[in-house]
Amino acid sequence: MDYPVPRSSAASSANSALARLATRLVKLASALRRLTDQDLEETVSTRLLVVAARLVASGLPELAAGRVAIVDALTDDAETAAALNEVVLAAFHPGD
Amino acid sequence: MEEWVGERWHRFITRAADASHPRAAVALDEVARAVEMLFRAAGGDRLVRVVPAVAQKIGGPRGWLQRVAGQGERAALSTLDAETLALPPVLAVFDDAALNRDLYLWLAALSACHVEAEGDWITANLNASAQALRHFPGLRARYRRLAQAQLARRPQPARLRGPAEATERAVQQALRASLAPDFAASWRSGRAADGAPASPDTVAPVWIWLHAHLQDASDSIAACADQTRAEDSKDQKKRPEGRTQQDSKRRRAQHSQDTSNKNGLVMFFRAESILSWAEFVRVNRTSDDEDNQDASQVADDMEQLAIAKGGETLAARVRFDLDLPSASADDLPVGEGEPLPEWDYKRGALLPDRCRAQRLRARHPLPDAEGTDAAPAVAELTTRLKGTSRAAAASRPCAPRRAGSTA
Repeated sequence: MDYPVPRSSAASSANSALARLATRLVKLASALRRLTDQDLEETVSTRLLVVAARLVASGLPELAAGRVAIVDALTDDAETAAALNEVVLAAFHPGD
Repeated sequence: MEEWVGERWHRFITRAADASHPRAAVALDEVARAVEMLFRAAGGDRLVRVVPAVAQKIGGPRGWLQRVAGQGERAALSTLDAETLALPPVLAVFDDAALNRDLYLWLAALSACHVEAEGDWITANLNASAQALRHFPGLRARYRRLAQAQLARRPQPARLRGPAEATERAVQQALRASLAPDFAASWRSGRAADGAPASPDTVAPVWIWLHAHLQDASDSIAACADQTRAEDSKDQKKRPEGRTQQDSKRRRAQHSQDTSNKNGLVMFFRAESILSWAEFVRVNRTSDDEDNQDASQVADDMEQLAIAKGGETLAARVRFDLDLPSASADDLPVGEGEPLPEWDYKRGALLPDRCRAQRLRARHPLPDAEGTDAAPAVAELTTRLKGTSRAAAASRPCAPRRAGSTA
């Protein structure tokens, strides 16, 4: 058994990076879904997660993608948006 | 003059002894929304309310300035029970406002991860910290800054004595260990060796940790839930709004057994003693002349409230005072009233001018009745009543039993 060829290695690292991103997004969605019916009227749909992932894939930082694709889609109240941003900030860690 | 000097001195010594950083203070109200949402997003109970904590006795060494000023004995600490998450109303622990704000958010995440204590206070907080950082990896950098700032504020263990020294060493060791990755497991294995339970009351407050009383609260709630609900609903129906003092602070309390007899204790003034609020004493206060308008301040001064069943509440007495119909809404009487005869059934005779019919004018007449003159109708009714009375007196067979005082 040897190391994969470079092309395959790049593909597998890209896949693992995408998998880590997906894991983080799902964890964020799970956290935000606990707020449904009490703090939020609407919940985080899978479509919003896909949009956020596409934004990250196109080069937007994860925090900005989370704010634009998820937080801004859930509320237009400034105080609630600031509180949701704190949850996004706490859920994302650059090193993970 | 003495009062003026006393005020100036108090202000001066209080400022000089204050170890907090008022310029970097952050109020709970400013971050309450974020705290609540972060707490629930981390898996905290939906029914738990975030409330301001009340000051309680704390440990730790005090400087001579604090001793002179009488400060450093009480502080609002973060506490979690089955119903509430009590956080300090204002945090000015660190000299950086951003750090104080991060402390609120960290406490929200930490409290959501507190489970029933496996070990002592230190182990429970370390386990909860590790769990919170697993849930929210984005808090790692903030936690590291908070832990380092907290470590910088800790007193030297060598200056302490007795159990405070050992506990302080354990606290600092735990804080340093929490800066390493996967610290909970290593701490658990190291802690099992010495095994000395640590008491938070003996050391200075660890602001990045909290006190969890989940079991105590659930026990007391289970024991008193039915009665409290019944009393609350009863009081809510009768309590006038606005008079009952509302205070959202979370205060420490304990149930006390009322072992006194029926007659209350008679308190007399002794010049050589200083009366103070200390323990539960049943005092007969039914003849108090005035309410204590600042009951909230009195409760703040008490370390722990003693709650006993029985007795009358102040709110009940206020309710009695205010539940009467207001005289300002009564109709206005017109004149002395029309004299009318009344049938005396015992003597079987009609007594002349025995009762009166009082005319009233509505204080707030209905729009439909405005402009109408009811006087002719009343005069006609009076004439008819008098005629009927005379006829009844003449014939007597069907005398009226009562021509009452109508209003």
